[in-house]
Amino acid sequence: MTERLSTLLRDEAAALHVPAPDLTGVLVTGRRLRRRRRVAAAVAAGAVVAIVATATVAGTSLTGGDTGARDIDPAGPSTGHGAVFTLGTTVFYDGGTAHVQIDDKAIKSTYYTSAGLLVRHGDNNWSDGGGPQRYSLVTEDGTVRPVSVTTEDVVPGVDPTQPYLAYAEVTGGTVEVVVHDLATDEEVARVPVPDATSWGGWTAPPVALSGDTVYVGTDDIMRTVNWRTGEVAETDEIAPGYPNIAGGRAVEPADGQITVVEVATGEVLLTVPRGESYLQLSPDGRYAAMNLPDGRSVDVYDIDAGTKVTVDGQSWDYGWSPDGDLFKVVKHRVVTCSTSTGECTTGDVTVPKEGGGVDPTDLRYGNQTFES
Amino acid sequence: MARQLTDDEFTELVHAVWPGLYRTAYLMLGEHQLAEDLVQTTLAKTYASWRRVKDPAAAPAYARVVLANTAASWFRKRGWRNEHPTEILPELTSETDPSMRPAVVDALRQLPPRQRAVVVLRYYDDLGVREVAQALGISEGTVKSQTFDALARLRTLLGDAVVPADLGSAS
Repeated sequence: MTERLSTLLRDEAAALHVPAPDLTGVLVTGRRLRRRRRVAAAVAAGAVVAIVATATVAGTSLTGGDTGARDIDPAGPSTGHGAVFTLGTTVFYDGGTAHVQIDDKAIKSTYYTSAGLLVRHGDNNWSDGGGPQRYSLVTEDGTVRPVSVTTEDVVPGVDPTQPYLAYAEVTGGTVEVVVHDLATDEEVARVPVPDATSWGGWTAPPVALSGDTVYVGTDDIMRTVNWRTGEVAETDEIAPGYPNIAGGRAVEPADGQITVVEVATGEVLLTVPRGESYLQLSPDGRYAAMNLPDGRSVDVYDIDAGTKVTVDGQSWDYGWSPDGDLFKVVKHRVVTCSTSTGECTTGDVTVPKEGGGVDPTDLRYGNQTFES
Repeated sequence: MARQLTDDEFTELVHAVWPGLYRTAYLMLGEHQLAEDLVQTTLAKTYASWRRVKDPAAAPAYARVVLANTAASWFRKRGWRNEHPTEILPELTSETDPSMRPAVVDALRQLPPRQRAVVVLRYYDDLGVREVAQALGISEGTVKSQTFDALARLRTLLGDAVVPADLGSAS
């Protein structure tokens, strides 16, 4: 019936002059999206070197000029596979098969970074007003390294593809954005944001990190800081206030619907009807989960592919693993649900009842934060 | 732990899928530069997810879905049609001299973006209704109705010989 139309389309397509693939452009765009962007940690030299992609089309390979910009090898639990969670002051990773202890009274939250799992801890598990917030890094071999940063009551930001911790502090009445390299344990940027004068509840504005941009959640407008250049700007692509950004993406309401937008461009990547639930992004922003009205299942969207799967339960029952799957701890077992297939499997590891510290039964999933 | 795919493997993928994606993109968008931008964006997104691609054999299909989904997101942008107006061609009927009929790509330009995408994915890429719905983030009913409307318009432009009048709901 439509064979003639198909034939015409194929003839038209076959006659097209197809330009050569722009490998460099693909690479640069990908890094601008902060999805594959990396800064190589020159650990041996004790320095961080930013590498710009120089792959060429003629070379038909990304290996030549891209050598320095290749991914760092997995450096910690947060770049591996499987569930990551904490119980009291114990950190479980690799699906619960490995664990380490944090030498403090309580764990407040954990963050996936390319340098390892960043643990925020302190005198209690409170996020707000709970005293000094200390940090440790859990590396791939299970080493716990203290990070030479102590913050007050702030909301830090990380980008799972990078080895950095970003936060804000007020110095001499001026808000400063600070970026700390977790791989080298050195401060690499400190940028004043002089127009930031009002924000909610914390001792400094909450921040989010995406690529080179630190989003500063002030009350009047969302501010952006390019921490490499020091440029401070404003954006109206996302609402002011708490910068809930994951992998360069944010959830924004729009005309009775909920959208996921690329914050750097405003591009709408996903639109779903507004339900009784909200849309929860995975740490890397690739997936979004939304509870269904039946109260018993969750739709999980692969935003890039435009596909979705449905899993049992509610989104808040789950954590996100570093590689983008959902997991939960049920009856001392780790249940992992594939966001590709929706299939759930129960692991063999038995999670203990207590994990030490002042609140030994406090179970917290990886990369979940509890700010308000 | 699954093996991570290498940049060399990604480079191979780019060379393998670029021509096909470009042709689909051009038919969808009708402009060379936009088509190139779309494919580049698509492959950048695919590259971004590269460490999570567990089966290299599935990567081309994944990239094609990303392309359709990215195109759909472009179409949803406010003002897309105003920014990319279509050239107004005269209404043609089946009685019109066939030599005066527009080429199929010109006829496609007369369709709204989403209809154009539906036609290309269904009749060029041979995707089924469900696959098109999934790729464009719309319902299967919308795919059917958009196909029906698009074919009716194409019949007017290209004639019954290309799009037979007895074509049903295109389901």
